[in-house]
Amino acid sequence: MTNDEAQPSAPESVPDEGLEAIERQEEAAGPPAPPRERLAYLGFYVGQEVYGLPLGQLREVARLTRLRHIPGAPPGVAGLVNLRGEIVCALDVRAILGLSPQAPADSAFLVALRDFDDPVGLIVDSIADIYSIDPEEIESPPTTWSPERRACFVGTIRVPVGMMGLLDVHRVVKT
Amino acid sequence: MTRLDTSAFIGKFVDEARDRLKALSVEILRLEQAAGTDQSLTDRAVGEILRQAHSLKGSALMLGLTDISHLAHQLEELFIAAKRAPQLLDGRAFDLLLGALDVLSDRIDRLGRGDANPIEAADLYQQMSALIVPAKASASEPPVESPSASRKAAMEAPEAGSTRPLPGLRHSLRVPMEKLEGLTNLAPELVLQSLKASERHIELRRLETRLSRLRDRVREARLASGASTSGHAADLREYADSLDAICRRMREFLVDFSDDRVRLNLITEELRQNVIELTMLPLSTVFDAFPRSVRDLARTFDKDVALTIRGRETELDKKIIEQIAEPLVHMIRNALDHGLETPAERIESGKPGTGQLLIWAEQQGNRMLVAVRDDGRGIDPNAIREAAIRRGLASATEMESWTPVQLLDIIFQPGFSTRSAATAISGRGVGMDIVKSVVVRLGGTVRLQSEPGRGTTVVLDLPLSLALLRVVLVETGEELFALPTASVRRIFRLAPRAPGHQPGSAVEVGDDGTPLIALSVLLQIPPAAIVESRPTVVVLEAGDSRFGLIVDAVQEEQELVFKELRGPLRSQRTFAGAALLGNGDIVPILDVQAVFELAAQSPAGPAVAAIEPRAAAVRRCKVLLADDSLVAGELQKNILLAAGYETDLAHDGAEAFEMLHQKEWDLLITDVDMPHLSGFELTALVRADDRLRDIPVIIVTGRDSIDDRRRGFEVGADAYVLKREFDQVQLLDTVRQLIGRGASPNAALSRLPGGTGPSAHD
Repeated sequence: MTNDEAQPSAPESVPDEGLEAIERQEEAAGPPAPPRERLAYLGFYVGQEVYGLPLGQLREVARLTRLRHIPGAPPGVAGLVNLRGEIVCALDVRAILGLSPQAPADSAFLVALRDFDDPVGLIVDSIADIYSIDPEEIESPPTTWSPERRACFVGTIRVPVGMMGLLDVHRVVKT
Repeated sequence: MTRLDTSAFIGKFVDEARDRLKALSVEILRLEQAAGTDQSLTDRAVGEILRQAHSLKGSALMLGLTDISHLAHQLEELFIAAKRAPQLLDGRAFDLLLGALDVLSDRIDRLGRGDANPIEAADLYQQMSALIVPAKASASEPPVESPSASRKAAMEAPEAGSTRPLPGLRHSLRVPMEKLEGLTNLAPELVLQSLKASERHIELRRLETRLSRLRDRVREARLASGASTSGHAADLREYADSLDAICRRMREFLVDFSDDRVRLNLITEELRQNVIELTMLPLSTVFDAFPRSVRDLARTFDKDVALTIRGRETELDKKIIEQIAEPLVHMIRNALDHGLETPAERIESGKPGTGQLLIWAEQQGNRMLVAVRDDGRGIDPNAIREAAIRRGLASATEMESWTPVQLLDIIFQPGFSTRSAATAISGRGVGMDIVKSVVVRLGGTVRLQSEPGRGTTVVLDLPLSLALLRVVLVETGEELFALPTASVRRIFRLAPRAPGHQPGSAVEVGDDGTPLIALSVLLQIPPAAIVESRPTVVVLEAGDSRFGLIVDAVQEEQELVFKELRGPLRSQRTFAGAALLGNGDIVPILDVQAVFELAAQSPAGPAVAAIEPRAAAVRRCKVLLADDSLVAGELQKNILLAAGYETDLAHDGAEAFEMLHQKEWDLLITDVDMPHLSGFELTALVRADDRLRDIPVIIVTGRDSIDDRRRGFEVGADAYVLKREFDQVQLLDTVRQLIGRGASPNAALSRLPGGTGPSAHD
């Protein structure tokens, strides 16, 4: 936890560095905080925007490989992925959040989620960083967003790379 | 004084009590059969009963479950009395005893579910005490014993029992299912890793070949340099020697590695087998309940039956065992109700008065055969014909050309029953179709053999394990799909097509009238780069439908570890599950019935309907929903619409009853608590109405007490679905069991008077 010398600096860190950042699970950004309870969030990019999930809700992050498309699946489901012998249902965050559709690139990641009876993961474009955030600073989603979009978030928070949307993971998986 | 927290032991007590009640049931039945014949057998049974009842009483008392201990004590008292006066165990006493076991089982089941309400069976206690008292008076010994003495006898009874060798102790361990599932997930992963090791081995061999080539070159170079003793030549000689040594070492390593790999493969395969066996249970877990149910059914139907059970120790996947219990009970009921004759009828036709019922299980390769055979009257082909015509399942002329097998097959159609008068036990013709649907869902088949006058045999052909599924891999548009082998009837190639032939629609007609469906068109998969000029057809059978699936190519048959598709993919029905192939790829497994339905709904769907061999089968079934909650009503309506049923919603019971009269309906689904007319009242009205009485009724409700369920069935409901457990799959399964998948035989015909509906007047 005291491994301070390897500060990931650039907001658009390369994916592998992003992964290393998770492993370190260290506080990477923000001014020195008062001794209040802070929460660690994984920030990731989908398109131009950065979204976040609490580390506690994640099982693992892996490169997206060999996505098997399932004909006739609901639009939010990109397909199935073999994650070390387990068949994981990979969700298309773009479709769920109503962003412009785009097939996942080779550099995409699967963020596998914890606490679901059946294995589920989100497809994201790249990993941004781990952010330690103060729950007090979470704001409600902007009223300019559509109600459908707002429903997918628990709130937003400022991080060095911009405004991070904190996903309501159960809501996202249900839709 | 603080009481010990006993709640932690309830689970263990429930398990133990179930075992004891099962043992008690077995012994009491044994006693009933041996009564008055073999004294030593009788004594042994009584000893065992006393031991079991006493232990049950003890554990119940410890946990403060006084009602259970009290009833167990009554049992004990009764048998202590019976030891002295065997005559008090008459037929009535056995009924009472088995009744008491039922009360106890129910109590234990409720306890297992967290319901701690005690037994209320004052009259049962009274009847049991009444049995004992006159016996005491008539016993040869003078009735000098005081209550405390009888209690003393009760305490001593197990002592006598314990001098016999202890019954075989089971060394077992309770493991949560999730842990086992974790293990079942890891086993295929190990298979995968060992496959990867094989690939590495090939790579190593390639490197070894290159290395030896390099060594040869170096050798040649050394020879070419001649006997020169210059520094270069000396170096070269040294290099050649070490290369030689490395090559030798490498070859040895490869041999060892290859051995390791073979061993790893063997161990992996064995581990996989062992893991599968972990989830297997002996069939005795269901079979042991049958002596009791056969006895009760024989009484109900006035039949005399000798039951033989074979193969109770054979093992089968726990999930399969759990699901076949109900179908087996259906089959046994059929055998006792329809199959076996009364003793008088049997003797008249020259048979022994006692009928033979044989239930047996046998493993054949990786299949398990479970069969029920009776030596009763067999199935009368004429009765089938008549019933089929009456129920509108086929016409007389149609059936003239049918083989006996085809004719028997009609028994599996929804709503078929050869008995015109329905009985309380065999239901309203809902029987063999349920058996078949359960078995097919498990990846098995049902075979029925019958010889008039000689008897009937029903064989369930089941896979050993649900985890493993035999599939045929097919390729279409460069993607692989799996089809369960159980539904594949045959595979053939189409005649070469005219160049440039484009399958414009999903549906074509084969030479024999079988509808052909192109999988690529159906699933909207882009065609492969190179289009096969002679596509392959896989003929599939699902439920009543038979159709050919056009694919680009058929690959091999494989046994795969089957995973259900759940979570966000739960709502789609095209695929039953998915599996991992040896190379780590995921292959989705098609649900054959759903593929057929998809074809019927596609733009070319009407064509499928038109050429469907049993022409009526794709008529859309009409379902009436009655629910005063708009949310619940609309939800169910959407589910039914999506599944291809025609659906209307009535907002209360009275409106539903009115709507029932306005149109022909195939099914009524009703809530219970509604204004104007409750679901129970509505169901009773439907059953009392000559025009509506044969419409199947499903009650969907939040009420889940046993009394409510009983009331539901008493008023004539065919199924009872709880809103608490409500989910789409369950609702659709229930609907399908009753009226089939969007497939209704001519409903108007099946509703003619003289159908098999019970009247609701009584």
